[in-house]
Amino acid sequence: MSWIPKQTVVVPFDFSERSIPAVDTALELVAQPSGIHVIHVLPTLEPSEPGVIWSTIDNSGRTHHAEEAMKAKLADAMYQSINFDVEIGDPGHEVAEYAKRVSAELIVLPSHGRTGISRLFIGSVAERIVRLAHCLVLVLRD
Amino acid sequence: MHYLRDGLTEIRVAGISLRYVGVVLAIFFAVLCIGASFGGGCAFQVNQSRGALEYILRQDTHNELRSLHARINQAKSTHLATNELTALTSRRDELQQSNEKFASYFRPAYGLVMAIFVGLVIIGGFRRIAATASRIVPSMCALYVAMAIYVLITNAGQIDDAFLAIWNGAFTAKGITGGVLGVMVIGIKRAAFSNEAGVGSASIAHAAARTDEPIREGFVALLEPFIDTVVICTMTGLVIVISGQALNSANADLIANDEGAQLTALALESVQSWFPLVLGVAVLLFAFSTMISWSYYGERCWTQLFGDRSSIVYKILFLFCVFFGAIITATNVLQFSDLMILAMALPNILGLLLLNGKVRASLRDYWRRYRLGDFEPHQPVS
Repeated sequence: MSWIPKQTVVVPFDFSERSIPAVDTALELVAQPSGIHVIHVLPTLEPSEPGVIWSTIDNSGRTHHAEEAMKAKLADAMYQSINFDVEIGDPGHEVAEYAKRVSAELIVLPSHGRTGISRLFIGSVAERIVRLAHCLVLVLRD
Repeated sequence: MHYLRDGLTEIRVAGISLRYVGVVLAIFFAVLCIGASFGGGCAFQVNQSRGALEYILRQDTHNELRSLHARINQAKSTHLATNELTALTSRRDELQQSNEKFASYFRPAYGLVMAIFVGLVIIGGFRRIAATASRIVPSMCALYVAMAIYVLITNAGQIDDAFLAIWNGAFTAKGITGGVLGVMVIGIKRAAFSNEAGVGSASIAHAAARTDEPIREGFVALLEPFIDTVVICTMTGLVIVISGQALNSANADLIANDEGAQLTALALESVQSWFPLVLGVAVLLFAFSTMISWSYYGERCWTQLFGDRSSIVYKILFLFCVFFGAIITATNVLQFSDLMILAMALPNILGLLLLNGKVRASLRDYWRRYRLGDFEPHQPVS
């Protein structure tokens, strides 16, 4: 991997404690903070959800709230130029697709380290991104 | 499940965190909730609504069968001529065979149609169907209550006898096998099935509510068992007893096979011939909206265990249960449903007992803020 600063870096953000250090790491690797794309992936709304049936929630509202929440979480001055985006769907696929769309050179993400049964059934988002991404992926361990 | 897994993490007993207890209870709850969604939330709903519609579509045949049943019993007791008794018995057998033949076509067809409509919502995303059904349900509920009140008013003089019959039946040895204890078991089973109090399923729906005050949502949730069981089920029970259908020997098969919807249709029909038609539509809509709700509960539990990407597997299994529920007997469905729903209550109630301190603290805080006037009165949106 070249140590030349990257122009475009994608950082998946799930509001966990590990997400913010991933953004900090991306800031060290990117040429300009405006080259960082922080993305949160919302799950798909189920048609049987009460909010969907009663039309009290929709994707535009959720997207707006997620964006606001990310900006609140990353309110420090050093994060001001960062781009925030929200996608909906499977996290692994959506992050990989998004990275391709913005022509990312690198994806930086923490790994939650699922083990055992949950790893077997649910799998690791990090593994999925590594497998599907078109670019380099940096997985941060604890 | 989240409250079990995450809530118990913060609880310590003798210095030991209950985190792993919470994880185990959450998994246990999720598995049983999936089973309950297939049984009580799906198969049972289809089964009972199928029973009500089957009765309505064959109402004339059922009326003739009841009449024949009474005439045959009377003929046996008065030693009617053998050839006349044979003719009555033969006609009864013919009608029963006709009913069975009808059922052999109707049940799978009904199951398939319901599976298609449910599938359109939970897989196809046609939420308008579910939304429309959900909006009509309160009206059908009100109409059902009105019909029941009409029956009770029409037989006002028998209400106290009906209550007495229910009371005596519950507290005498003749009431049911097992006496008072047996009645309590049956009553608790049916009540828990009806209002899901203590089961933990309704909390999944309430968790989706848009509110900043969980205690307030809890108050709303308290109304459900009261309306559902204390009002609606009591009225249904009174209607069935007052109409005489509960003790009518012609209904022995219906009672033995747990065909509650059909029994209710018979009871309403004794007052107005078109009441069963309204009941059929109401039961159909209640069943449909309940299946949509339980598909949500089960799907949430399934994805917690197996991930979001596998939810399609759950949905396909659910639709299979919709079809299956229409063709199997009510007794089998009910036994499985009772087992799953009541078993769900075990991890839920255990979790509630362990977390009751947190709930009590939240409730005290809520009342304190309420008395201080922290909550602004609700302003209706103009």
